[in-house]
Amino acid sequence: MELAAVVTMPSLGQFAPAVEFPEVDSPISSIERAVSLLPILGNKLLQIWTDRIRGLGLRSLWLTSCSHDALHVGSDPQDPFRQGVERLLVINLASYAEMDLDDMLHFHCQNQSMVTEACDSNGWLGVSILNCSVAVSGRNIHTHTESSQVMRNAYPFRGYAKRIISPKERQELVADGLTGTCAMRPLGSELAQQVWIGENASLASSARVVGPSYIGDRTIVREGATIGPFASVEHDCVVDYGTTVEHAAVLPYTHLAPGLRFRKALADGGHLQDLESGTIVNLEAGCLAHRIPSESPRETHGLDVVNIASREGETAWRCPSTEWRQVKL
Amino acid sequence: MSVDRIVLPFPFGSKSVHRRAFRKQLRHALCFSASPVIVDLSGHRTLDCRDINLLLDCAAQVTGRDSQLIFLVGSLAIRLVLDVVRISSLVPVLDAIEQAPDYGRIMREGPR
Repeated sequence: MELAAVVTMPSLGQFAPAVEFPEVDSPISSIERAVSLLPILGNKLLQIWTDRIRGLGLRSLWLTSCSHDALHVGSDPQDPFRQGVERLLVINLASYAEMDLDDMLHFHCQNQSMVTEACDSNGWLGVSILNCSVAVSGRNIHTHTESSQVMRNAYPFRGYAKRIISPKERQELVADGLTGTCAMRPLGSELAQQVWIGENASLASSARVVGPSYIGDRTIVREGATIGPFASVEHDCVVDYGTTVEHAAVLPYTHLAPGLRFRKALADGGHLQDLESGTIVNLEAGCLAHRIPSESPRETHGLDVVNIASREGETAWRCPSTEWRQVKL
Repeated sequence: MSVDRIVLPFPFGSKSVHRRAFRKQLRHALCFSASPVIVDLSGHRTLDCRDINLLLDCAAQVTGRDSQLIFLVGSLAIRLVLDVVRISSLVPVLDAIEQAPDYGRIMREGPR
């Protein structure tokens, strides 16, 4: 096999301490490490990268979790280096980039580099191509150049890219998606200019939606509520009577109580993170928001994680672990 | 110019009898004080349902009166909750008691 692709996912093993409430196990504290796994305007980042990898003609990819930007290779019999690959495309699931991977592969081959890493004006993007000779058994490959001793070649990327490390960066990508600044389109029907509604979403007659905005699948917006501008309410949420969501994001399975105002914030279940200060607030104690129990079992502390659906037959990946997992495309 | 202020500590998580006493104190202060009445929420970082109901009640008490009410918060978390429940659009919210003399300016410019 000449080329294999690996997508490294954030490690979700344990909660990071909450900012304001150390005694509270906050889902948002884990969002800090797993923000890239959450749906963005109904889109899943992993699915977007999977489609790009499929465009290279690959029929499978490997998934693994990774912490501290280091990819541990050669220790697991399932990892691609034990499968005789010559080159490895490594995508750290922490950025959205409208990148032509085929062009990057050509660049890597032409320059005869050992390692090629994509970068833009803000630095490395977490997309690399490695020659297999770089990887020796049991070694950590660092996905950022600063920490590696291997000579790396930079692939200059000039297209749209957004790092999605924090909820604030996620919200910037939401705004770009809603306004058409990037190629990511909201997953739903465009009912009015820059207003997208997902399947089976319910919008009360007196509810107001101000574009640009997105309302996800099966989300209920009750009487008198206002969504937008620059709001994304992901799937299976409830925005109750008279509540306003503007310049804010609501993550899946979140119920917002009546009469509230969410502005420049990210709401996830019973918690809210202020996008300006990063402060996390427990809203559940005040009965202001809560997590809606989902019908299907969900892993990793309420985060609606990853779901790769292959075109032929469904291959579900729901619980990233430290092991390598091959997924057919 | 210094202004005499009445500062009432907010009865976080206390029994209903204490809440009733607080309501009575607040009503009395709003009736008879010419200076701003400050409800002190500092020292706490969470608000439960009863706290929020009591704060909404405080905001309702001042409606239609000439009296002045200020919420003094000690943490950004409390301020954010007050923003979410829209109380901060009804009653001025200050981070520190030293800001209280600016009350006249706040009233001119409107609550944050």
